[in-house]
Amino acid sequence: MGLFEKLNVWSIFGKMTNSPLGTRFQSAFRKLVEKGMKPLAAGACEEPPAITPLRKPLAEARVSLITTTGVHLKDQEPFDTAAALGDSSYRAVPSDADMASLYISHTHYPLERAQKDINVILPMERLRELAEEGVIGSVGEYHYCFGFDLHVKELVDPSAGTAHELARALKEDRVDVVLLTPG
Amino acid sequence: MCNRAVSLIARVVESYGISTVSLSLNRELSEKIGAPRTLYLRYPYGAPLGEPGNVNQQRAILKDMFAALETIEEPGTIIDLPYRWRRDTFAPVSF
Repeated sequence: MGLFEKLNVWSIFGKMTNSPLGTRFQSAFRKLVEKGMKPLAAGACEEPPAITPLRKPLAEARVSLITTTGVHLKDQEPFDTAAALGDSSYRAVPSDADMASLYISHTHYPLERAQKDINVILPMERLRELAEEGVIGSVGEYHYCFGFDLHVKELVDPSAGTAHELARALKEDRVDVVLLTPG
Repeated sequence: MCNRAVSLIARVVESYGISTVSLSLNRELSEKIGAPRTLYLRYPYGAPLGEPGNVNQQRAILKDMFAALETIEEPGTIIDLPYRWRRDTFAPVSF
């Protein structure tokens, strides 16, 4: 909610819809967004996060990446960049994918640098090199990529949340360490 | 916003017994949500690992991330990395 206030979204929106019908639409839309944002406010966590110490040498650890920068394979379905609250789905990108087969669907950060070198948002090639050098044990089978997303419940809900789904997939792949990068 | 999702996902993944390290480009959001281990960079959005093609820079930041697995013991810790956007030169990084 803070962000919406900061960006003065409602006043801009109000000017755009300055008519009786527009005002009604605005009020209905605002209610809808605030309803959607409610779980987001709840996302501010009072409890400290869990912590899992790495119990093996890094040289034996299996490492995967998670990013919220909208990376996917060109032949995977793009993220929904038109939805106001974003897209809570994720794409599993094979860690041995050709860099030229990747695409970025995201509209909330400047893409130029990542389009020149995806490693600045998803350091896939660097991770492969570190595995070859023996610095890390191995790279997980997949890296997991999200797009722009404000749906907290869809992400963290214990029974259906996508974050839980991919945490289980990472466990199955025996991944020990996950590095996360924002956009 | 994506910094918020990163912290939330990191919390979930860590709770499954997987060690996570998150990069952050927005300290305020990272403080609010609290990922298990966070490294904050004063870098622009869209470039958490630095400049395109700068392999040494990317490796330096990855090295910092792996080091955080050992150095951070208190959950929710945020380390401010000392790098300044476009003002540092990075030597080849060995691990």
